[in-house]
Parts: sequence; C-alpha cells; structure tokens
Amino acid sequence: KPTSPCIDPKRLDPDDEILLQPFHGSRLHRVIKLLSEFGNLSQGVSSSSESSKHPYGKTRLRHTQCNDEIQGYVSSSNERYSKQGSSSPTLERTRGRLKSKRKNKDGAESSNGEKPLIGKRILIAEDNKMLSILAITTATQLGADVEHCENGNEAFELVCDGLKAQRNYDYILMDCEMLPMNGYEATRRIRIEEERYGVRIPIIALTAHTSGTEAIEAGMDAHLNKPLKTNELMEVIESIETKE
Amino acid sequence: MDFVNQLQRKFIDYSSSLHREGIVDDQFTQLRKLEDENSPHFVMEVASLFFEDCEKLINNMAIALEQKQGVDFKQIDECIHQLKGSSSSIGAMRVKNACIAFRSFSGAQNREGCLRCLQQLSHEYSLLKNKLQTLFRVSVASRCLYVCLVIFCRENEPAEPFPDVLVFQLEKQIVAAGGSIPRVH
Repeated sequence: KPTSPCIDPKRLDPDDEILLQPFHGSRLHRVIKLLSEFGNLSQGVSSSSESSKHPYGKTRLRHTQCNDEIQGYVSSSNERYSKQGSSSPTLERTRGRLKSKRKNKDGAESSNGEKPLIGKRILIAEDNKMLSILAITTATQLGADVEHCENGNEAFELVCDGLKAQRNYDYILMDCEMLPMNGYEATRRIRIEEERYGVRIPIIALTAHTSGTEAIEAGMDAHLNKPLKTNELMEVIESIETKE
Repeated sequence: MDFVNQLQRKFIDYSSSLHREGIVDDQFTQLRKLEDENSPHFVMEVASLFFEDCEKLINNMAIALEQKQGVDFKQIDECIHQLKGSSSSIGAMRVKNACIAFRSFSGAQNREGCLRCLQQLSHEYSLLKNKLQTLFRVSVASRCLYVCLVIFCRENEPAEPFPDVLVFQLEKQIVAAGGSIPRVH
C-alpha cells in the first residue's frame, strides 16, 4: 500500500479512525455516519473501553451500512459545488431545482416576529418560473428553508423520500395547475402514502382565482390565490397551527 | 439635499402614475417589500426576468399563429396561461388583463381574433417595459446622486452651496440616464 510506509502508529492519537483505502463511495458514507448529525449518538462517550484499543473500534466502520440520507447529502453537496450557473442573481439551482440565494443566518434573528418560519422546511411545487421566484423569496424572507419542484410527480417523489427518511417538510405550497400531474392529484397520492406512516403534512393549495372546494376535496388543508402574499401565507399557516 | 428630495419626489410621482394608469397594481408594491439589504435590487431583477419571459412567449405565439398548415391553439393557450401567471406575479395588470381577453379568442380557435389580441398584448408589454425602465433609471440616478452628495459633503463639509460645476455635471448624468431634473429657483 502506498501509504503504509508513511504512517507511524505511535504518533497517531488512539482515538483516531484510520482508513488506508481511497476515501470515496461506501467508505465515505460510513465515515459520515460517525457524525452526530447523521445519527451517531456515541460521541462524547468516555474513551476507556475494554474491548478494543480504539474507542470506536475498527468494527464500527465496517458494520455501518449505506444510508439514503447520506447519499442525498453527498450528491447535493456535489451539485452545489458544480459549475452550473444561473442567469438569475437571486436564485441558484441545486439538483435541477430552484433555491433562493439568500441565506438565512444561523440562529434566529433578533425576534421570531421578523422570521416566523425560521427552522421550517417548505416545499414549493410550482411550474411557472416567475411565480416560483416570488413564492420562494416570500417564504425565504420569512425565515424558511425552501425547496422547489416543478410538477406533481416531483412533489410526490420528494415527499415520499422524506417519509422514508423520517424527515418531512413542515408545509407544502402546491400549485394546482401543473403538468403532467396537477396539484390535486399529487395531494391525493401524498395523502395515501402518508397514511402508511401516520403522518399528515399541511398542504396549502395555490390557485389562480378559483374556489377552494376542489382543493379541500383532494385533501388539502387550505387554499390561497396566486400570486402568493406574505401576510396571507402567515394567516393560513397560523390558522393551520392553531387547529392542530 | 433639497435637490435629491425633489428627485425622489419625482420618482414617487412617477411611480404613482403607473398605478393610476393601471400599468401596475398592488402586487408591484408587494414586490418592493421583498427587497432587503441582501437583495436591494430584487424588483429590477424580477422585472428583467419578466421581460425575457414575456418576449419569449409573445414570440412563440406569433410563430404559432403564422403556421399555414394549422394553428396549434393548445400551444397558444398554454403560452397565455404562463404569461397570465407571470404578469400577475409582478403586478403587470394591463398585460394580465390582455391575457384574459386573449384566452377567450384562443379558446374559440379564432385566428383573426388571436392576432388582434397578440398585437394588443405586445402593445401593453412595450408600454410596461418602457415605463418600468424609466422608473428604474430615475431610481438608480437618484440613488447615485444621493451617494455622490453624501460623499462630497463628508469630504468637504461645505459651508457654502454646491459648486455650480458639480451640480451641472450631475444634472447631465441624470438626464443621460433617462431621468429629468426639477427646476429649482
């Protein structure tokens, strides 16, 4: 092995993990699993262990399995660093979907009143580019972490991924008129899938001046007219929260 | 600074006239609220995107209506739907209303009617674009002027009024950018 002559075990910290193999793929996944953000609960455990010299033990690395969430994190990081630019100064693309370039600063701003949606994850399903920009910016300005997709199919897939990973959106803003799958159909499918997990994500319909009856029948929780307005969004969210 | 105030008032008056004439509606005002220190030019950026979007859709509809072998009214309908959504997002009221009227003719598959509507739509779009671009130029010019004056004051702390030469140069620049200068007596 090319690295073996260079490593002097005496100079290594016994708490360190050592991998003498190319650092990618499944090995990368296993190492990421050691981070507390990805479920490693044993950080901070005392280092005195009878079973092995190393507190985590080499067996740890070998026995963890690939996790879909890590896969997602790794591939989305790759996309973020890719050279794919965007003509919009306010938006960028991550995994082919629009995201606001505005970063919400970590830690709530002075008062939660300014950013009432801080820490909330919102999915916006909208096919019109201008309306998407408006909705994404509106929600981001309120403090939310926003994801975007362009049709009902993608929305359904993203929600399913979230259900499996047990990491769900806090709200979904669903345009009703999308192709090939519209918002009503996507919502119906989402509700069926959610039942398997005992979960119900609040879905807010976005329509172009129609009544909300079809939205409610499809299983949506509320209905707003396009274009999205900040105060209307907050009113609807507050009414959803008080019902629960 | 009275000079700057007058220019800013001019901007406000111009902006009000756009609302009065129905060129833009309340949604345009809402867009302003989405500007913050991280995105100070949000309205201009969104407007530019809208201009691109609109021109593309109008072009596509013109081409579709020219097809000798048969007009694809479904495609035209889809374009109108997109344009209606986009124009409502920015508050372009007259463009949006032109879309609504257009819809009935494309639904009826009336080619002549559609051609007339497209012409009307193009007209409303040009009007909007001209007015918004003027508005943005005056806004930028007054901001530049304000910044120049602030810097000048800080550097020089003039006890006397501004040197005429500087005022004259600034006036020229504002006019060149498309703004107008209020006459101060």
